[in-house]
Amino acid sequence: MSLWRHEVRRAGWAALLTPMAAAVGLVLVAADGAIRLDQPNRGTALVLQSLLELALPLAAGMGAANLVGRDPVVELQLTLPTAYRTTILRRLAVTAGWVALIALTTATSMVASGWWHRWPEAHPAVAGQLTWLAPTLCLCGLGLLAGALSGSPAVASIVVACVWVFEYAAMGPMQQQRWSRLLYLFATTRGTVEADWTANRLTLLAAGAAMTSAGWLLLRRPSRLLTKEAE
Amino acid sequence: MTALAATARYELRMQLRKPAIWIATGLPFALYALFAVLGDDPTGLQRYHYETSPKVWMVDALGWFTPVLPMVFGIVLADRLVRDRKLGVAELLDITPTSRTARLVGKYLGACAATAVPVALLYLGVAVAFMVWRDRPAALRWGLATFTVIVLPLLLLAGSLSFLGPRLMPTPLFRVLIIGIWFWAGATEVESEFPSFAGTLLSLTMDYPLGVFFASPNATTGPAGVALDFLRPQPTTGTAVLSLALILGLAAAILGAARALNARTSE
Repeated sequence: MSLWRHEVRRAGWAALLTPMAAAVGLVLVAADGAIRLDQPNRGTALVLQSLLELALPLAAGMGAANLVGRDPVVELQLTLPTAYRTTILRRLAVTAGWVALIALTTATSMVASGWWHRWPEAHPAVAGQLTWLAPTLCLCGLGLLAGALSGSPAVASIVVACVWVFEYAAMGPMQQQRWSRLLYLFATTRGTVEADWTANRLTLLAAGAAMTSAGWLLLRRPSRLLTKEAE
Repeated sequence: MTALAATARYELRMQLRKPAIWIATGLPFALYALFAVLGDDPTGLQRYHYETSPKVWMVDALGWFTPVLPMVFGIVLADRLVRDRKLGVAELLDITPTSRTARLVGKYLGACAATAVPVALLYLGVAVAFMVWRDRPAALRWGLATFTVIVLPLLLLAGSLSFLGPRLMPTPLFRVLIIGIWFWAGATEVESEFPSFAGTLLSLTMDYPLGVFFASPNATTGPAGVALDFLRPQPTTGTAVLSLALILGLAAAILGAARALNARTSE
């Protein structure tokens, strides 16, 4: 338990604050829409769903991208009986777990307050949790894999950011083939073929698990990281 | 002056050896090319395939790619200033008889120049390819013009943001925040109900210079009847120049803030 407490502290308030900032920011946008503009509920409810599907997964992915390569004295870490990759995985769990906590809290409040169902295309409350779970795991896996491959938080951050922005911008082209529909991160809020939604979510979960495992395997020889400079 | 030039030269050469600078240009460009291949409907980038005008290629088609640059380079350069302090080099440099401002500005110019190199090569490559393909040497001129008027101001702004941001917050948080800023000041729709910088004099998609100097159909200019409309005047040469001046001025002001913060916290 104290180990986990340490890892939470090691992840730092940056990792903990980022998803909070994203959540507070978008909730403010939604509140602005609901109060100032007297907007129909639909748009505001979509902003809240976008918080779950777009903003929180990005925060999680960027957190995961910043895990490898930030330890100032990684040599010392490597002498410990605990494998370095176990430590990294524990930090990944802390980062993703915190995002999951925020997402679950948001989703529960949305269901309880009725905002969940005010967006007509919303999925049933329980299965609908895949809205945030699938892209979060996928981007976390991508961030970890990019970090393990490059050893540089800057490069890993660029990879996550570029993929996120690309998927956001390429909404139209990505709907045209089935394979790209299955890999589309924002299938809930930015559209997919209705029948593909569950398959899309499962594909993303599998891709996330595969990329996390690949990152885990790559970190088997962390001495590779020693030639890299700590950031 | 020597300190400024030396710092700039050192920073430039060091940055160019880092793979991150090259990945930051190559990866978005690869995704942009994928975007072009995926979109096979008439509204996609496919329409540029039959286009023979060098202006349309160098300004409008590449115009889908350049707005991403401030975001990626903001992420890459985020550690430049804080890193010196973390490694303990800053204290060492402080005891040399060089001005701290000269070193900061030199580092800034060197870092920005380094981000400009891969993008300049890319523009040159596309222009030369187009020149050979369509036999239109004017592509080089259009490439140079867009690079100077559109890309360079964006890189200077991204550089200054990444010098100030990480002094105020942890670097990972800044890296997420710059995506948010980029989104808010560039990628949102002008018509979205939330007040944004989209289509303004300060938008990261450079709408005013693009619309006025290059008559680009991608640019959104003029009053839109939404919040912050005072930043959306009628597009004229004057307002386009004003837009460039505001963006460069903003970059200078942000760098000034970074300098002030750097001087204060190092005492």
